[in-house]
Amino acid sequence: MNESDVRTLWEQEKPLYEAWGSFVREKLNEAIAQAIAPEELSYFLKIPAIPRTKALKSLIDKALYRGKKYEDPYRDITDKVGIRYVVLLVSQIETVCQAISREDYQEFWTFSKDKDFEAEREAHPLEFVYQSVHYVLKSKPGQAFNGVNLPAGLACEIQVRTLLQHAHSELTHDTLYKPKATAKPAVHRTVAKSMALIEATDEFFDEAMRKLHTENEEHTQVLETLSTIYQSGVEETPGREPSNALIIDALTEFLPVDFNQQIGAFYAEKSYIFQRIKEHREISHLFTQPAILLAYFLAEHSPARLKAAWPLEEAALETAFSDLGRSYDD
Amino acid sequence: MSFENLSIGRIIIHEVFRRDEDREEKAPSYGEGRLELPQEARIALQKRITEALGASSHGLEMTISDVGQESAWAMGKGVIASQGNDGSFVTYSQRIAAKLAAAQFSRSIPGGIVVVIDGMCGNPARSFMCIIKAEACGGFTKKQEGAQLTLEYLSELILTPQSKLYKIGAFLRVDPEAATAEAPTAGWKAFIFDDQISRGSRATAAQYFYERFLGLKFPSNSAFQTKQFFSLTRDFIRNAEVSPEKKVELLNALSTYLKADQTTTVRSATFAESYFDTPDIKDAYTAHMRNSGFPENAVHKDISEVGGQLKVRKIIFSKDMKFTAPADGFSDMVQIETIDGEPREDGATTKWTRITVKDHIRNQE
Repeated sequence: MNESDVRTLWEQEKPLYEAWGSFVREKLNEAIAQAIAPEELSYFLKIPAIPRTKALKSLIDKALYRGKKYEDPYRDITDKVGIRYVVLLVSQIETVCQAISREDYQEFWTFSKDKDFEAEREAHPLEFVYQSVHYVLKSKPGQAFNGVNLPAGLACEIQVRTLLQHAHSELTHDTLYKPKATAKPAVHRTVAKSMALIEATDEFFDEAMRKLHTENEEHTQVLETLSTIYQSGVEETPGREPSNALIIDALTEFLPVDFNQQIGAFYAEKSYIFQRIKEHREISHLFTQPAILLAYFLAEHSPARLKAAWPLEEAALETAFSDLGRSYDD
Repeated sequence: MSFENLSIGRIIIHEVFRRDEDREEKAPSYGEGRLELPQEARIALQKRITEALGASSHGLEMTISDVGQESAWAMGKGVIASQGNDGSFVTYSQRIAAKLAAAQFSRSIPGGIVVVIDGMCGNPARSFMCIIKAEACGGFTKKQEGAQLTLEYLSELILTPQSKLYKIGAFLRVDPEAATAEAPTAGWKAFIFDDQISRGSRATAAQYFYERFLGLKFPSNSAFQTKQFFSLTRDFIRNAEVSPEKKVELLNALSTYLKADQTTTVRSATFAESYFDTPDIKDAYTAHMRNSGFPENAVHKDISEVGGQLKVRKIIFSKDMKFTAPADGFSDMVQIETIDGEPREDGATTKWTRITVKDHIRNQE
C-alpha cells in the first residue's frame, strides 16, 4: 500500500465515515441525555461531542511513517473518525460507557475497549501515563444515516475522559506519550507527576460531590416532595432554581418530624391554594418554584418563625398569608 | 378560617361627603357601573381585606342586630343574591352608600370613598360581600421626566396600607340553608374592621359605622371570651419553659394588658408580639390558643367576668406558703428574684426566692 492508495481509498470512504460518526454521536447523545435527565446534556458534556474525521495528512503519516507494523495500514487504523466525550467527574465516565453498551444499541454496532484505563492502572500502577477510556465501535450491516447506506465494519473511536484528563492530554498531545524512546526521562517524570496529581484531583472531585450529595440528602428529599406536590397540584413543571435551596435551607429546622404526611394532608385540605399559585405565577417568579409550598404550609403552622426566617422579599410571603386569609402585619 | 381563599368578584365605588355647615346631608356621588381592575390591583385589594379581617387580624366578629328591610345586612344580602344581575348589584350598592351618608350624622365625620365588593371566600368557598369606607390621604409617587427623576403629589390616595384610614364591614353567608323566618340571620356572619375600635378610647366615635350604619353589636359572649383569654394565657405562662422571674413578668403583663391597656379588644397575636421574646415561644403560644379553640381574631374586651382574678396576684410556694398582693402596681411595689439557696444534705443545689416589698410591715396576724 502506498500514499496514493491511501488517498484514493480515503477520498471514496470519507463521507461514509462521517455519516457513521454522526450516527454514533446521535445515538450516544440520545442515550446519555435520557440517563442524566433532567440535567442538560450541554452542561454534562464539558466539550461538545463532535465527530472528527482524520486529516488525510495524519492518516498517511500514521499508516506509513510511524514505524508501527500494521497488517493492513488503512483498515487497522481505528480512529479515522472519532468522537471525544469530556465529562467533569470520573463517576460520569460510566454514564457514557453504559450508553455504548446499551442492549438495544447492539444491533447498531460491536464495541470493544481499546485502552481501558482501569486495566492500564492495574497493570502498571506506578506508571501514570496517558489516561483515557477508548472504545472502538464497528458498524453492523444494515445501518444508514441521512440517506447514506453504511457498510459493515466502519470503525469509530470513542474517547471518554474527565476535564482534567483532557487538560493533561492537550498539554502532552502527540509529542510525549507515543515515542517512548525519544522523550527525556526528566520530561517523563514531570508528566507522570502531573498525571498522578490529576488522578488524585479527579478522585477528590468525586469524593466532594458524594459528600455534598449526602449532606444535601435531606434537602433534596424535601425538594422532591414539594416538586411532586407542585407538579400534581399546579399541573405545571416545578422550577429548579437556586431560590428553592435558599428557602428550604432557611426553613428546614421548622419542619415537623412527619413532614411528608403533614404537608400531604395540608394540601389535600386546602387544594384551592394550587389555583392561587397558578394565578400568581404570571406575576411573581417565586410562585413557579415548588419551595413556595413551604411558605403556605408554615404560614399556617409557625407564622412567627416563618416571618423571622424568610430569606427573600416579603411581598411573596404577604401574598401567601393573604391567600390563607391570615393577616400578616401586626 | 373564614377569609381564606378569597376571590373578589364585582367592585363598584361611590363617594360620600362630610355634612355641610348646616348639618344637612350632602347627596353621595354615585358610580354607575362595575370596575374592572388588573390582577395586581385585585391582589392588593384582597390583601387589604385579609389583613383587616383575616385570622390573627384586628377584625372583630360581630352580631347582626338590625335586620329590617332598610338594614345594611338586608342590602348586603341583596348584593349577594344579585349574582348575574349587575343592575341589581349597582342599585343595592348605591343604597348602601346612601345609608352610610345618613349614618354620618356629625360634622366631625369625614367623607370618603365607599367600595362595595362581592365575591367568595373560605374553604369550601362561600359567598361574601364587604363595604369599605376609605378616607383619602396625600402621597407622592416618582416620575421620570426625560433624564430627570421627579416627584408627583397625589392628593387623593385611598386604600394605602395605613389602616386608620379605612373601615370595613363584611357579611358572610356561611350556611345558605340555615336561615329561617324566625332567625333570618342564621348562617350569616358579620365582621368589622375599624381602627377606632381596636385602638380603644375612641370606641364611641366608631359607633356611627358599626351600629348606625351596619346595624351590628358586639357579641354577647365577649365577657366569657375575655375570661377564656385570661385563663388560657395564664395556663400557658405557668407551664412555659422560662425562668420564674420571666413568669412573674408575663403574668404582670397579662394583668396590664387586660386592665390597664387602653385597647378595647383582646387578641392573642397582639399579646404574643408585645410580650414574648422569641419567634419560637410566640408560635407555641398562638398554637396553644388556637388548639384550645380560642379565636385567632380580635375579641371585644369585657373584663366583667375576670375582674376578680385580675385584682389580686398570688405567688405560691411549697408548705402552704403564699404571698398575695393587688395586681395594680404589683411590679412597682414588689420585686421578685430567684437566688441560689444553700445546698441540701445530699449535695443537690436548691433555688430560693427573694421577695422585696417596698414598704414596711403595717400589720400582722
